[in-house]
Amino acid sequence: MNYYAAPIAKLIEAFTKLPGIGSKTAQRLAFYLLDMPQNEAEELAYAIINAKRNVRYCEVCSNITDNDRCNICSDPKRDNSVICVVEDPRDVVAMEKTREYKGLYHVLHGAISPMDGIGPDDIRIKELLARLGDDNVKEVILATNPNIEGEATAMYISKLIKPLGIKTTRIAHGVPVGGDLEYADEVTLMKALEGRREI
Amino acid sequence: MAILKTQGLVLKYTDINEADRILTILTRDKGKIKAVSKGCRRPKSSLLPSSELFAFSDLILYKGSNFYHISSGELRESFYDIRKDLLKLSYAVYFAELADSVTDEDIPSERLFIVLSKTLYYLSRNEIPVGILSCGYQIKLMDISGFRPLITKCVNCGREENLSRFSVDLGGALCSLCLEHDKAAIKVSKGTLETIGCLLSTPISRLNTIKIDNNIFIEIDKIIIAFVEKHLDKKFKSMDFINSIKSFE
Repeated sequence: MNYYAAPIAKLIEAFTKLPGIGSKTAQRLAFYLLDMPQNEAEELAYAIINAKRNVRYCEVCSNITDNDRCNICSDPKRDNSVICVVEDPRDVVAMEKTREYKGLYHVLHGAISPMDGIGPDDIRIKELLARLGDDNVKEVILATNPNIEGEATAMYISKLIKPLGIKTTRIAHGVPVGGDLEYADEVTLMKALEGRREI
Repeated sequence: MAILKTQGLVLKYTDINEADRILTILTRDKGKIKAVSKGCRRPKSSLLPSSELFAFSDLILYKGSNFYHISSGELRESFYDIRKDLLKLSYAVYFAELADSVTDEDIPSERLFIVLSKTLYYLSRNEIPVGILSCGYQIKLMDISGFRPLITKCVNCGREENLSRFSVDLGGALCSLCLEHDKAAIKVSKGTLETIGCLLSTPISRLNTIKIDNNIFIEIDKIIIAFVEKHLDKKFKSMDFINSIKSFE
């Protein structure tokens, strides 16, 4: 039996497809939308359609953009001799927030994961190798996540890049700022010791 | 509230919410359990090291209505070097998937826990060839699960002479007089059967003492994988992944 009018039922169903949204939350969101002023609801709908229509992958780095090239790739001030390889467009934002890195990026859109059946062909490794054919690139920084899939991906890519004679580096691992040494595991501490610096 | 203090090995995980995970853990005392690791994906979480795939930890858990919840975890071994080699990682995922498929929740299997822990330990080091380790683990896992293949005598008539085939369906060697009982049985040499026996009886830590001729190894590898898939009635996606990685490399 349908408790709601068809348009509301459809809206609720659409919300339940979003991650972390159950039927109760979907109902709450749908009724919130119904109470919204008409123009705000239309703005929201337009924002979704606009993002979906206009956002695509940068032809160089595969980051999400609304142009052929993203803002970073088309910025002449960026150092095009360094490429930082990340798993996800959100990682680009995280790196940019540091304001320390001035090079370019390459977004893999995932990591190699035998658990989920994601192999090297399923992420954008070929596109990265194609970029390295250009003599400009002097260093590739592997900034995949320090979990098991990210490490395996970094190791795999480094094996492919090393024969090309390009410097390949991995972001440092260690104790987080504000963290507690007591709770750090041996591997993290070992990596932190390996990457220690003179002060 | 029931508190459980045990050692556990993470077989797989699913990310949920902002920073949580549901872990499938093979424990020493309780067999396979599902446990929520709250906030473990945050960099400063003390549960982070114990919530990674293959993490071997001392755990303190309490039982909720649906899942166990991890109260604290102290990492004993992360088998870190497994992640340095994609093929090794793929095998480790396969080993974990096998262990997951032969165990039921809350049914203790300390023997499997020990065999899997040791297999991952030797996989993370380079002392035993990956292929031999894989065959040894699979055959031991089948033994523990109640599917020990009969290789010293004919699985049909019990005769000990002229064993010339291995029947995947019947689960052991066939003598030349019983061939019609499984026409799909694989032709094997005496050496192959003896080597399977050796893999069964040799502890994981001493698998490096077994020397296997390459042709015999290919035969055994094929037999064991077919045997596992037949009796566990499942195709393992991680094995497909291993094959694709091998062809890629």
